[in-house]
Amino acid sequence: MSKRVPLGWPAFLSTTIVLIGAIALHAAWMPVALLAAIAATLALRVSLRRRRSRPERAILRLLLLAALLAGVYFSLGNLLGREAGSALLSALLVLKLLETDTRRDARLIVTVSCFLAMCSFLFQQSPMQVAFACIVVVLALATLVQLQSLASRDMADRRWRAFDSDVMAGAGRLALWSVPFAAACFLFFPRLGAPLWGAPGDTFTGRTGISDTMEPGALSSLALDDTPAMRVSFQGAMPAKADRYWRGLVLWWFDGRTWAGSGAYQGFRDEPSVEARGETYQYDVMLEPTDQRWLFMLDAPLSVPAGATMGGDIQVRWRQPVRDVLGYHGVSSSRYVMQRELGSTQRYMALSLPRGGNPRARALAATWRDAGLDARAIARRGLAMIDNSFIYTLEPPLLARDSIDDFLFSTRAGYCEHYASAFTYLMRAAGVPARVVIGYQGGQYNAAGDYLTIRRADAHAWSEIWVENEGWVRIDPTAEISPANIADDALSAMEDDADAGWLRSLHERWDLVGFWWNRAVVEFGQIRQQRLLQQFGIDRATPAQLIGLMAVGATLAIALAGWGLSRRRVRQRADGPLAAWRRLCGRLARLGVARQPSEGPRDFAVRAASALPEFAPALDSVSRRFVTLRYAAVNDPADGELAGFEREARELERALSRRYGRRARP
Amino acid sequence: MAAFQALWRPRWEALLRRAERRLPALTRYRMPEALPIALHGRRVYILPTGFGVFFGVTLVTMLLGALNFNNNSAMLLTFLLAGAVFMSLSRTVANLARLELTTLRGMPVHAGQPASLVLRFGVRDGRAHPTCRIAGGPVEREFDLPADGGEIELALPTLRRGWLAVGRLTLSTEYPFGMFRAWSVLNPDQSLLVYPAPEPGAPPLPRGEARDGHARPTPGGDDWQGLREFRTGDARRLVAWKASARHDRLLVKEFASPVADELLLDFERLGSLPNEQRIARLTRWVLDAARLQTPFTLVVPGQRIGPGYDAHHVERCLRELALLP
Repeated sequence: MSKRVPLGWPAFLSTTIVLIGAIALHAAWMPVALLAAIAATLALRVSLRRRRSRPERAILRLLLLAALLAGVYFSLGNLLGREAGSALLSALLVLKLLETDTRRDARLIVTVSCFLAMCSFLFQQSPMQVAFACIVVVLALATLVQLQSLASRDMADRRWRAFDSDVMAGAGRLALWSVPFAAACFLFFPRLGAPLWGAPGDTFTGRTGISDTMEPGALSSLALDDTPAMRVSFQGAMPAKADRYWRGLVLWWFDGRTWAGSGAYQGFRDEPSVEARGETYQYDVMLEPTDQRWLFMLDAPLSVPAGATMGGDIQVRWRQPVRDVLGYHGVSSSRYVMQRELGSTQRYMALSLPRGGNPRARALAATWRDAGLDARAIARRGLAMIDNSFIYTLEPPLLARDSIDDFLFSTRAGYCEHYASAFTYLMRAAGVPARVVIGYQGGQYNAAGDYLTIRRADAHAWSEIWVENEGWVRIDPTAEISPANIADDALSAMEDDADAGWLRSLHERWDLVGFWWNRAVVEFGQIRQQRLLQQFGIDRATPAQLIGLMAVGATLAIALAGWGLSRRRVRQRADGPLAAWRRLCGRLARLGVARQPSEGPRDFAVRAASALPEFAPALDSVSRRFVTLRYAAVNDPADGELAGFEREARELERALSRRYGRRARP
Repeated sequence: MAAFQALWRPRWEALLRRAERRLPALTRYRMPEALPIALHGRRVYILPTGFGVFFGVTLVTMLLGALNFNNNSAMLLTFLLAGAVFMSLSRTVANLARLELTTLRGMPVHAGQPASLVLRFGVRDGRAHPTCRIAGGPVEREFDLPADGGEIELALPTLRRGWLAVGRLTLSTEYPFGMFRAWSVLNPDQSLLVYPAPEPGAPPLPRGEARDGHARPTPGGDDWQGLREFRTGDARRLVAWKASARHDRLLVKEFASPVADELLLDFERLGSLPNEQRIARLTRWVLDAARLQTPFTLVVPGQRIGPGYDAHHVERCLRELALLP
């Protein structure tokens, strides 16, 4: 099979389209300069190849190879890792296209394009991405069919036309009928408990939402990002929106500007203790990848999801950074007592402040402390500070070096992180143990799927103070701002939950697709597979059992597809006159005058006329016209002729319906 | 490489022949069969092509990657592709298994000319069967078969006179993806008659033993018969110089007279020549006589055919010449 099969222009064009599709799947994370270089190379090759079918000159190929490699290296900094890998593969494929002039080369490009399409899932597994990748793969299959056809070797064809409709239909049918097979394999293929080699996480650069520190602007940058962060479905009751604080991570250290977590020292010696004081809620979370270890739990969590740990700061950590969609179960209560006893380490950390700075805030807090107020009273004073003069805005003015003083006493405009930061500072300065918690607040209920969608825009920061006998108490200073002081339209629109309408419902539907996709496919792992099989009485399925099940399922699927594919297209599309005639015959049959298979149109018309005498002239005329149209030796009857016949047949049909009703003859 | 093949090819073929003799079941579908030959699943063989193997390796790589990163979307995509490949396997087989070789025609040719073999394929499932390939010996042709069947012409090389068995024809297809090649061996129980090759540059027709002493054709004949190519021994005055100049080769005027005298083409009379050359010369003469519409009688060992000059008679003569031992 080493024969060199030439490649016609349309087949070359199809191959190029598949390649462009595969590269486009990676466009989101490819440097713009590289994309431009790839586009230019493709355009060059297509225009040259259209003129003359032959590989480009070796010198041109070498130059472009060097240029593209250098481009990848300088725009990505290295040639290893995920981005560089996909960029490199794309560039090499484009270079391969420069010398593609045989069927063999085209097949190579199509095959590697499929691989490239698969690689795009290492970056993004959203339903949209998968849908586009599926389109690319179907186009790839269509190209393979086209490459196989004799017409693909037609070197004279220079039309701008790539895929024939029957080639597309053939490939589409094959792909469609392979869905059951894919589903069977997907369900039962044994999964690996641990990866064979390193996960691609070391180069994780996806947008991650909340980061592990909080400085002014950290959360407001997310305020307009409506990417879903997590989706939660409750079993039973759902807390009110005001109680839906999704606890993420706890920040202790303040350096005058930035709040940071406790770092590696997460456990503290304290045992976590949360006592429920009200209703408990059961829920399942589907967390989008964050590349961070903490999990978001409804405040406050009563149990730890399997595989996670909880420290004394009631912060739940996963065993590794979350790089794929992660599902976990939570139990929480929004009335609780958290850490009735405060350990000495925590007390120390919860009171520590940077040396110096912010003199006015310190002085104010000192007056509260010296007044001998208890923690609750001091907190009330602190909240009272945030009066009508404070503005909630996405674009606060920049703060001076004493950021707390500047915010509290002069700018008085900020986003939630400013409020939480300032309030916590005041509390610590007044001697009340306090800390910052960041996570999400609220979430939008999706009625279609009965779950909550929490978006990155819902990111929020609040404070917790420790009160004798009550433990850590959540205080949200941002909630003190009066709604009239929300500065930005975008923010108020987001706060306004009642903007119902078709757009909203469309948004909800689309979010539901993402939810189902995550639940059914992305998050399906070893555990879910075992759980699925438990429902059928297989407790711990061994890989051998799984393979057996897969074989059975795949065989059934192939049999089903074989039936579907071999089914002859039952009804050939009838030509113009025949379709109208058949409809008329069907109507007559329902009236009790069925045409016998052996009966010609004229004989049938005579018989029908004797059964329905009042329609005799119409039947006679219609059947005559039909016979003329269908059997007369006229190759191309005038258009008017056909339309006239169809109109007449339809009118007769209607007249019959009017006279005898739609069903059967009375 | 060539030396290797020359050494081993005969041995390998001998081994195959022996295996076929010993294990007829192996070659049941390669033995000569009467037409029509309907293909079915059990006589269609299938193997992946080089490209199929490459695609399979790519799929395995994709699966390993998807498994390792626990990437379910990638796994789904891989299985979808694998499913399409599996489906294509059955499509490849079906592309052959519903075909039927209904008839086979071939016009007799002279040895050395390609024998045009017209194969008519019927289609039993009412579908088009794209991109099939038929190969017989060194020749092969690719064709698309429409939904109502079609005729394929295959030009087989001929070397010797006599019966040429059509032999094993390999019908194959790689449709739709080119990842699998399905094939089936057709061995129709039919033969083509190959006439002997006419001798090039043979002497002109001998003078017949005419009852009235005339020879055929004669320059003095009264019927202008036409031009023919120059052959050694033609009289120079018969050359049509003007016509020759026009056609760039030597042409000779021929005349004939309608006198019905008998031409005798006798195998034994050419006794001095080797057997095959005698047959070749007779063939040439038969053709010449037929062209000149001269009645002739052919005498070959054990038979006397003629006299006659119509197409039927000529065919019969050529057939006897072809089948001479």
